[in-house]
Amino acid sequence: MLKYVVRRILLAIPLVLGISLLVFGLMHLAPGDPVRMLAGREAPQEVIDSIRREWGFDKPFLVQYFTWLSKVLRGDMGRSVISQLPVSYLIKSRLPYTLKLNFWATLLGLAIAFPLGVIAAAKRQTWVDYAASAFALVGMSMPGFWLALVLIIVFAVQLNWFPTSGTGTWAHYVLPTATLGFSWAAGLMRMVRTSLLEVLKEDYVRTARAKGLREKVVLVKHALRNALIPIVTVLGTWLAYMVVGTVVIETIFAWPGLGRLLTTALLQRDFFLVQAIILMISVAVVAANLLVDVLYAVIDPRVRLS
Amino acid sequence: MPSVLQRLFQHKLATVGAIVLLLLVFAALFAPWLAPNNPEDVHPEASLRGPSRQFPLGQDPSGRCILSRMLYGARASLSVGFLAGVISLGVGIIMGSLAGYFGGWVDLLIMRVAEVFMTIPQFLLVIAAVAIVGPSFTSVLVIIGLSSWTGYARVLRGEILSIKQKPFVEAARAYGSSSWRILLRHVLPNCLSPLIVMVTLNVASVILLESSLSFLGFGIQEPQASWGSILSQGRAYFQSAPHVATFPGIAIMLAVLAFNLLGDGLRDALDPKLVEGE
Amino acid sequence: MKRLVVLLIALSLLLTGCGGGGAKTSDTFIYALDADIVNLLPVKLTNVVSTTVSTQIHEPLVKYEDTYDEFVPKLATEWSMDPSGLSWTFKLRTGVTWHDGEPFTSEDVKYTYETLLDPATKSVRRANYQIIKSIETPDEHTVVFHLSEPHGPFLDKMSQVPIMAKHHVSKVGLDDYNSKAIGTGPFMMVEWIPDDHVTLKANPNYWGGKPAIENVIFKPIPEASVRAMALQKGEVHFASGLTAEDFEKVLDKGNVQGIVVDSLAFAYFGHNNRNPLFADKRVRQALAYAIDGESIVNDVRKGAAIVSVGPISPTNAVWFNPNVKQYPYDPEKAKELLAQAGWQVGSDGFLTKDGKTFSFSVILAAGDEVMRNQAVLIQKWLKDVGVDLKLEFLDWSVMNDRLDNREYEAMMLSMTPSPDPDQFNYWHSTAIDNGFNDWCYSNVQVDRLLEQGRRETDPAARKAIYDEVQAILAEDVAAVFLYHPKVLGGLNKNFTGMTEGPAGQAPLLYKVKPVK
Repeated sequence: MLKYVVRRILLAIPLVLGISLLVFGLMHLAPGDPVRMLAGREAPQEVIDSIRREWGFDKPFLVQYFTWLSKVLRGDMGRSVISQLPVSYLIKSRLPYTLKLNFWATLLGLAIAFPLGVIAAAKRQTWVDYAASAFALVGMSMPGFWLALVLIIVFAVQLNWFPTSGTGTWAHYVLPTATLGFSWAAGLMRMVRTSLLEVLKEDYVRTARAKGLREKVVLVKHALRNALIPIVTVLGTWLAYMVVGTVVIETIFAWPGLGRLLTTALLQRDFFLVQAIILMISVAVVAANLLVDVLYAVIDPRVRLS
Repeated sequence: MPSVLQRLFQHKLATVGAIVLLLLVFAALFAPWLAPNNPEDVHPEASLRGPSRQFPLGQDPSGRCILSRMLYGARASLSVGFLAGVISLGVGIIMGSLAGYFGGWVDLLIMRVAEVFMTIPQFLLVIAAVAIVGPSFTSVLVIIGLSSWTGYARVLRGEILSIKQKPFVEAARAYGSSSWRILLRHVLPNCLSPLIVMVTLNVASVILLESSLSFLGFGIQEPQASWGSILSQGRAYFQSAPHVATFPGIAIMLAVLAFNLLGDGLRDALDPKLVEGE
Repeated sequence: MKRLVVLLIALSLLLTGCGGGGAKTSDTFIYALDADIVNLLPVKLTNVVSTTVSTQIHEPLVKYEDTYDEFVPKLATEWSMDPSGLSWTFKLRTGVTWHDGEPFTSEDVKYTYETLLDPATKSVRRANYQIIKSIETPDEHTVVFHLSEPHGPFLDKMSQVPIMAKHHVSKVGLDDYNSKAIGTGPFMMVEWIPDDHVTLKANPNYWGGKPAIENVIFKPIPEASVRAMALQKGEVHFASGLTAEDFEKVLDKGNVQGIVVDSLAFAYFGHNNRNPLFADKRVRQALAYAIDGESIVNDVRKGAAIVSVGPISPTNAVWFNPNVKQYPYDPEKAKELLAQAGWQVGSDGFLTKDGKTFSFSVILAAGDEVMRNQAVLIQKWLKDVGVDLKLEFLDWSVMNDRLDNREYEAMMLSMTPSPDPDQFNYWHSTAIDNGFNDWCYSNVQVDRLLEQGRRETDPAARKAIYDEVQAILAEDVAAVFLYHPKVLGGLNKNFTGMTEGPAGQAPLLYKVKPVK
């Protein structure tokens, strides 16, 4: 088992390097001088020169990349062009808020998707299934910010149940969590339903049924457990999905998280910050995938052998 | 093929999806004839006015006809979806065939690059790239297209690898068939169904992605309109003039829903394994 | 399974346990911002939001408070200029202490300006203060500034730099300053949670008396519509930057009082004066007649603006010159002037001259709704007189590049000048390459007047000079001036005393009182 884990981690290293290369290379897509872009329009020449020197932008691309990488590895991700505060500080102060929001949204998403998916699969082609599937399809098709604004108008302004935006009490969590959790649940529910349906067709389930076991027992004991395996894999993409949702939703709900920081940074062309956030999130995704793989190996020992 | 179509049309929801899509495509193609007004005509004195006889879906902040703008916007939204899908499909087919055909280090390299693209959340990659290059119709669709090729590449590579082992390919080789011929004759038809399903679902996600880009100001730019850009413009008036954001929002939902339904239907129709149980 | 549930509940309590928020009592005033603060350090202030917060904590030597007619003493009680105009002496207020109890002295003033002037600070405002040659501190309560030449706008410049505490800044440094800011002002920093809130509390030892409200909480809410809804619900007590529609809607509810703030900014349609197309003054005047500024104010800004005749707003009454050539909407007159300049109506309805169509493009920032709407209107009006205007919507970064390189036939933007009429950086011909003369306007007479006005220190003489500058700019149509925008805001009726002050100055929250 340990050997498997170590091997997975070693395999992740080139992946992280590749990601960093791509993220760094993005800056060079710009039509103009990347240093000018990093420094901002109003920056005096001395600021531009100092960035050029400090980050080696006068050197060839690969040298620049390694200069940057070695700084990043030592925790120096540069400074925001706009506030001139260290990027690491800006990120650190936002991270807890994004984590809290994502935690609740994930919980809510799981709480909606699993029961609904299982029921839909069990009562296939009844009105329950149709209603659940309709819910999922609508949820997947709605632009997130649209849903967010509708929820604010209905629940914050008309009904006055929750605050419109900001943080503070538990009530502040309700609307952003609902928006984020709902749209994620939609996709996940379909996944649960499909993979359960596939398992239900397998021979061992048929056998179990033939043995005369009650439907509920068949469903929970035999089918669900096996259906979990593909679902766990899907959970690997969960983090990536959440991140995308947060970018838009945090801005609308004035939530002080990473997504909003990224939005502001993009609008202000604060590219050291953009670079750092994307890099960080991508590395987190790698870590999440790694975790899922290990989990997968725990559930299904066959994986370790391949 | 007729059996596939038959199966597709037995699938009621997919039929509905296909019809909705046909209508939307029709609206986009014939926008100049269908639009009641010139989409660029401004009426500042009538800004944000609700639906009326002359302006069936009301007017935007500049008093332009929302229905007309949406009809023209359908062109942008749908063509970003289709073209980005086509670009990803093209890049995916090339990368996948290279990887599958050559194998070895080429395969390793391509699949590693694909993994990098799959790990970085696509939305982040796209907004950053669009912000850097500058948003426009072309940059949006090219960047989205270039960022979502990995799924196609994986399907194609998998298919090639499995087909390579099959005796008929060896036989074809032995008879001197060129590799390209084998690819065209045997590989592509075999993975056509998953590819078609993927493109359909991909178009849906691109339309949503474009609306999120518009929300951040990095989508299709004026004077061109997309549903996403009209919707995002309307959000400032969500309370005072809800019609501006409501109609494009519904259009996006309908289109995405239709693509999803069609995609589901196609998957079922093209994949007999699944249908069996229905 | 049960254990898992317990674990989750425990974890959830842990995660939501803490929270900022704050008490919603009548002595807490919640102020909605449209973005988070960037930097509170006085020498690094660049944007409006940071200035709004910083102004409550820090104070400059002198300040405009109710009008632009006079400077109100803040940290300086008296000031005088040497007859040569080369040195200024400020007497500082005695008995003032910093929020940490340390006394405020002349050393702090010297430190502030020297830091601002130090290239290592990388302040974008440094260039504006380079006329300061040296700073002397004869005693604890006297500061003398020595200038390289007499400078008319000197006090205006002094009003823009809040003084910071030497003993504190040199210790804390830039990185931690935002959450540890210390000033002499009416409010003291309590905490800054980035993107969430900034909390200030009343300074009990403020030299001007303790403020009436105990706490101020600034909340950044980026979405304009959400900001309006929060105001409507009473979640925040003040919000500005509302759309005209939301403004009306919010006022309708009855618990909010409208606050309309004038600004010094001027919005314009700027043709590039270097372009031969606009070399003929009659052509430029025709553009001015063809564009209906009144309609833009009413239809696009929904009345939230004043029609403009030049770069100085009528709100800035001391310096505004109303007696300049005006261009009321008159398309017939425009056509006439264009015909006089040799432009003939061609077969396609557009004007032609020497086989060339009168066609040009204007660049403007994409994503700005107001700009877009007015651009679309201008396009239509110019078409009415036979001019083909193309709209080029640019992403900000591209727009900046084009502006830097002066690559455009016309552009549309707005500028926010300081209250002092010294607009050397806008209209002097050297500012084309070295400033913000985006119109590429060059006029020998204006150049001479601007140079003179800067060196002149007698207000009456300066007034005459700048009146003439405004008259020439209008006569010449250096740009087509459109309007001076107003900012729409709302104040919860549980509070009063939100002085609007003169345009463009951050509101002074120590005058806000709860209504009992």
